[in-house]
Amino acid sequence: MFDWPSFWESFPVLLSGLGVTVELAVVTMAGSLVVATAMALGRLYGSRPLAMAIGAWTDIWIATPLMIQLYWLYYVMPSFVDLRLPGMLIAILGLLFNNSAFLAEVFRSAIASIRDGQWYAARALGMSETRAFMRVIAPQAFSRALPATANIWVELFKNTSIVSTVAVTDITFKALELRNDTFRTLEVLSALALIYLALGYPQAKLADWLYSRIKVRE
Amino acid sequence: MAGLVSLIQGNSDLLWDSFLVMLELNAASIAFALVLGIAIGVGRHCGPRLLDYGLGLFVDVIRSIPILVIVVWTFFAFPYFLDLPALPPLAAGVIALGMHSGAYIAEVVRGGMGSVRAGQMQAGLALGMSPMRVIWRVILPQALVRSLPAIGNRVSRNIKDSVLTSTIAVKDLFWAGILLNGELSRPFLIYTTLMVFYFIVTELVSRAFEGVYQRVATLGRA
Repeated sequence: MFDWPSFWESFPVLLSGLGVTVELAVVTMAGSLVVATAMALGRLYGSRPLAMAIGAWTDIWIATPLMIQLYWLYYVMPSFVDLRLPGMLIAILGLLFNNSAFLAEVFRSAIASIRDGQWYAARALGMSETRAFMRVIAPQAFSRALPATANIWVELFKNTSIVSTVAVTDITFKALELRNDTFRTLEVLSALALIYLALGYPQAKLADWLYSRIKVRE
Repeated sequence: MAGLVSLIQGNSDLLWDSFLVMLELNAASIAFALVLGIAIGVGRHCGPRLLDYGLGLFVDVIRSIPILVIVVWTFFAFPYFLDLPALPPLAAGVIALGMHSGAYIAEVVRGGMGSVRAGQMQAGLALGMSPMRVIWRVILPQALVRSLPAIGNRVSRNIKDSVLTSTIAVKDLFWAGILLNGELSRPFLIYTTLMVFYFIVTELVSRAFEGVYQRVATLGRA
């Protein structure tokens, strides 16, 4: 039977992991914005070898499961580079590599979707290439990329749960730990699902709203 | 490379069995997801408003919860919830992955159906077809063709998510990898091989969907 007291009592324990979950998501997203911008620019405007290298790097992180990526960083990397990173740092590194690859694709396609005519017009007005990019291309690409970027944030927020498998004490880790301690599996895991639902639902709806709201204008 | 060959030769039974589990898990959950996704997509597109609302809520709930939590909940909590006997891990994995991918495929199918012009429905009705028949024979086939690339994305995603079922002891390839690493302590060899394996599989799936779509895309352009 559903034991309501155990259900309510699990909330404080699980929410003690919320800080780690939010920290992972925020730090990873902040890093991803920078890294993904650099990757998109390098792939669009860099030399051919650079663009190909970035393309290959992107494919690796997009086409493999995040959990194996985390395992790889956690168990394999220490044998390469002779340093033991704390679990939290490895989790951020894995999420960053994974998330920035997806985000770079969003940025790249947003920039590439701006018509060439915009370039020519800006250049014809006497703007330098940098200025044309900053004042004409980037602002338009930004609004095009915004809904998909919001979606990537939603995915990232959910993906942080996977770091619990490499012993980072986020909400999911706290829940699996509490389940082992109390054996109130149904109550603890239902509380966990409910917390993610309460946090994730408004985010998903906000992303949907951005998709419906932001129309492409040229 | 020699290490890999001897690893595979020495553990061929375990690897073959876990490869089959990985295939079964994905084939069954993708089949389930397609049926669920099409049913929800059609229900939302042409069902009554209340049905649209209810199905939309289901989709949004699934979209808001991490797949790992859905997998763990389905295995550990769902049977208690309904007072059922414990589910076998593989069945729980199929249900969890299928519901998750199905919710996303439902959105794709609904969008695809919405993109088919209203004139198609009117033409079908004018030919004397019933509304359900027009949906089934005219609207849905075109919607599915148009949705093919997005469905392909979800299929690759399903394959990548499937490794998470190792947390509920579904004995798939990743589970076998963890087990072997526990015995042999060869993390580089084992986890790199797994990365390469999943990379090849998801790339092949993407290419296959791309190739099929290129061939049939004209059928969706009416």
